[in-house]
Amino acid sequence: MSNDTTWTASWAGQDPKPPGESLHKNLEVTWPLKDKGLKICAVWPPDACEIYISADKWKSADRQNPPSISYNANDAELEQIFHGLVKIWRDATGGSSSIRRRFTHPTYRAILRLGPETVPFIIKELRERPDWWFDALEFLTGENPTKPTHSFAEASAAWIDWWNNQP
Amino acid sequence: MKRLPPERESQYPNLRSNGYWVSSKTTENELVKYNCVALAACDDLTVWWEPSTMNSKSVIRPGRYWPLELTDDFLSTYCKLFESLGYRQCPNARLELLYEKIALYGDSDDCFLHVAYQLYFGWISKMGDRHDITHRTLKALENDEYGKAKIFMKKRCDIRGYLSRAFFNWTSRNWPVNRRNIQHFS
Repeated sequence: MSNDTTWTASWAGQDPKPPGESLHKNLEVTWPLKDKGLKICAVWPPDACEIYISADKWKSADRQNPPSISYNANDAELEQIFHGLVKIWRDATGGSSSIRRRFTHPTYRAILRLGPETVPFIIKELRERPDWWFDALEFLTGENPTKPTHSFAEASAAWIDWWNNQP
Repeated sequence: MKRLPPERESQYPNLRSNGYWVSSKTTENELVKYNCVALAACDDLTVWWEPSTMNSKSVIRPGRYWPLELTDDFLSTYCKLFESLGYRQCPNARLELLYEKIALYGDSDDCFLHVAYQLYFGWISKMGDRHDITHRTLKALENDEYGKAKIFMKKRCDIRGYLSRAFFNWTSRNWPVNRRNIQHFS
């Protein structure tokens, strides 16, 4: 895996709102990357804003022409971003009765957009805090070592075995 | 009585005022997953009941179970699911001693969001991938995530169902066999 990972995100058209009053109405979590002058935000609900990276200079950005940037995150920063997104995703959707609904959450889509470099982090999550990562792993790797009849535990073990057998 | 962490309890504005307690440990971070539909259907607390689709066709995915051809999220589909398990719609959520009842929660678009199972002293719900909770009223869980209780269904319970609910305030068919699968708080 390369040391630098390019993660592209775009500003989706609204200023960030104050930190959430309620998890479901307005959730915002930021991870400052102080040395870069950037912060990474996730805002719920999805119709308000998606994941974006913002810099102070964007506060006065033209809403009709939202900026888009590429940012070279190193592995440590990528892992920090990944775990931050996972925390939001789990906090916001862990009570949902539907996996399908959980997959429509913007933070889940943002995790997928981080790319295949997140696969080792997902495998680690699967080992330590099992969750419904099978579809994401299939999407990111193009592989599927599970069988439809597998239980959750068997499917988790199949993905961990698959990862352990990677060159 | 065990309560949810404050940040989770606050997601359900009516929960504390309507009365509830946590009745099982969470399945977050566990290798056995089940949801509210599995709990209400009562057959097996090791699978997650939800349709899976690929290119609009029903598929089987690991850890999930769905016995119907229909794969949409509408309340009508979940009604058909529970009809296939012997339930039929009824007009209200009043306790009837010889009947098991469930309440299906949905949003304004009639999409299914949750199902709760009636006990003799309230209702039991599996909160997604989290805890089972016992709540006094159906209103206790109403929020943006679960919507409102919109459809009620019932079916005649057998002697085991009657006894398990009457004496243990627990669901019928998953007691006592599948009760071992999850760690319950007294």
